[in-house]
Amino acid sequence: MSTLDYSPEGASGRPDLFKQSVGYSIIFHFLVFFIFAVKTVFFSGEPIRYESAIKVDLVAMPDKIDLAQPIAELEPAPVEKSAAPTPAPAEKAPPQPPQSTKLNPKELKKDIDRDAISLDVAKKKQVAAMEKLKQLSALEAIEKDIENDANKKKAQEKPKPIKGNVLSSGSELSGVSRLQHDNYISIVEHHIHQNWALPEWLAKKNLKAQIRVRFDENGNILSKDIYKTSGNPSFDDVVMTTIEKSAPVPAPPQKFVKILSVEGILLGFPE
Amino acid sequence: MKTILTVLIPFAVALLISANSYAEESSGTGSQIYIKIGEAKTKKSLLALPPIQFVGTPAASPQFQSVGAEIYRVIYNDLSISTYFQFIAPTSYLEDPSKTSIRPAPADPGGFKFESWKQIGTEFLVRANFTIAGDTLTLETYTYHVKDASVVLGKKYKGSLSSLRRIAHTFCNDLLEALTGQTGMFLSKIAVSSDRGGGGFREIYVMDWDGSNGEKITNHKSVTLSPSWSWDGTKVAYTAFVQRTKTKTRNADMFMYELPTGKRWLVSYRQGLNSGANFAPDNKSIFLTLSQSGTPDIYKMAYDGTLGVRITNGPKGAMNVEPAVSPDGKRMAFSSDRSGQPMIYTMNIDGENIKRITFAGKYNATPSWSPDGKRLTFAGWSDDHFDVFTMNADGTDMVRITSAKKPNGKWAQNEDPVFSPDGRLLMYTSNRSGSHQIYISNLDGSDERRITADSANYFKPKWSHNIE
Repeated sequence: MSTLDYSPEGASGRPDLFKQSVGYSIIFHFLVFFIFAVKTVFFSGEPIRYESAIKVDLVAMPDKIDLAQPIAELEPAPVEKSAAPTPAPAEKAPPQPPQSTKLNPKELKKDIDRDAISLDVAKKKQVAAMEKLKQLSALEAIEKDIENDANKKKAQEKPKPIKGNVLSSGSELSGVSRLQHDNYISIVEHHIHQNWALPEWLAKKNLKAQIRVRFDENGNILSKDIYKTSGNPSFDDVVMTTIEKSAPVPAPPQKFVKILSVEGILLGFPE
Repeated sequence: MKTILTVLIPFAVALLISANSYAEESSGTGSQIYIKIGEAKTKKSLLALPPIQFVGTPAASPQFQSVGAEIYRVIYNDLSISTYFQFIAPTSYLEDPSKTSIRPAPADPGGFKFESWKQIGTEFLVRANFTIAGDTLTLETYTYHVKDASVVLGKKYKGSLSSLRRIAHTFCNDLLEALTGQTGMFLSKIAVSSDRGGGGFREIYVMDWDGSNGEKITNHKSVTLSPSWSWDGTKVAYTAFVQRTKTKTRNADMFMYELPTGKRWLVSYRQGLNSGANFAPDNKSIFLTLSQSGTPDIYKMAYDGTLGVRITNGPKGAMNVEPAVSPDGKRMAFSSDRSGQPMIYTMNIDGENIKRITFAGKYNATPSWSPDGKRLTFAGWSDDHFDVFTMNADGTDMVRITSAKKPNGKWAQNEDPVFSPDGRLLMYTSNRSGSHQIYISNLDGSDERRITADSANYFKPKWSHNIE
């Protein structure tokens, strides 16, 4: 009788098989997972670096740069450039000759659409970056907790008098402080670069000098000395004047005050 | 057992991963902070150039005033185009240079004081005087670095009165060499085809870089064009449409003229074009365009006209013209319409390894090398006129140098660009004034200045190396 298939033997036999297969499956899955985990942990490849992208506009015949205008003002104009009646916009530069002065409205529209899309993308990127930041700060919090725990243990073990190793808190930068650090460095670099001008007669000599500078919490110069001379007194002189002119630099974040005032930073002119 | 496994394994894995990322993040910092400031902007140095003093009896002074004034003008012009200096206006001088000597005060009781120049921000001070004895002009110069009160250059120059400009140019060359280690280009010359002689003819002229001392070196009473300098600056090759006595027809034949001797000879007179001469650095041969085989192609030829190798060959029906040998003598830039429109190409000096390097625009022509061989300048047709462009020798980083309108509001033609022998300037022709005149600008197109000032036309100016 076919209905007898629902007998207790049959019913009890199948779930067993099912359970077994599920067990194997779980083990198999974890095995796979474990293999990949081990691979990523011990055989990790190049770490991925995130760098800011640069928008490049290819213009067939470049416009003459108006030297009266500061370069900073020229920068936000790429959209205008591609819309201008100069030959061939962006992608279609190479073999085709520019198609006279006619404007193609479709292409223009495309350009605008593309920009709209890139705005969305930029927003998404920002959100992603914020997420990343949050993650990083969370990670940092965990690290701190771990560190605190370790410190507590240490304190319980041996109450050693700690002799002002003031730099330790700042010298190891990770996560958010690393980002702040990089950000501050680029601010300082930009700030000093604005004042960095050589007389033309010194410019083509490929001279290089390095200066060690210490700043206080307001960005004022505490000391500056030549770490590596260029060998040309006039060049060294201009470099020192550049640093004097740049004082005070933007005030550093609290975390870096100690590094900047004790260890100082090394400035390379030009590198 | 299974449940334990299911809980433990992910935990272990998570631990491992976090440990790994922790290790990654904490590495890479800890050394001293190092900032590269990057390349500097450049600025001009403030230079004071007081009038050149005349040393001699006051009675003789008036007639020599003009001599002093001319020396001054030449030096001023040279130093201002050098791009190194900005002149301090004489109105802001704190002391009267005519009442102090050209040496500094403590040593010379009647001398000038460094302090009074330092106060107005002077970086360099040029003091000079001259004497005239018969036909001999003596120029004594001192250039001071005011900040550390040192002499950059102290030199005396002697020569005939007629060599006045040459003396002034030589001083400027020496000054630049003392400051920068590189001599100036002030003793270089320009060879150019011009109709300034009238009669509808175009002849070749040679002049100083500043347009003065123009000298006509041809008299074919015809259209004479495309001059080219030999590397040692002693010869000029050019093409003239001359009439042949037997057939009474005109042909574009190539001549060579030797400046020091005045010797002139016919180099190439094959049927068709014999043009676009460009000297090889070996001082023995030239490259030129011949159209004897139909379409124009580039050939090598000895100074005496012995035909060497054919450098370009085809493609069928395509022209290959305007050879320009790179300063190291290994590469050649040229124009060709093999792609349909005239474009700039480069190749090895033997014609191998041809590369097209311009893709933009409709018509690109007259390539010319920078002295370091890194960049090329050429004229490119854009919209409805030619403009001057520069680019790397591989065609990247193209920059527009010129952009000018004529008085009637239409775009001017800017053509036939070449680099200066020191590589710091560009020279080209422009018809913005109505006729084709010679202009010089910085490499970025700034500080444009007109060198010729007449209503004649100038074509294909070529800049020599420094001529001693």
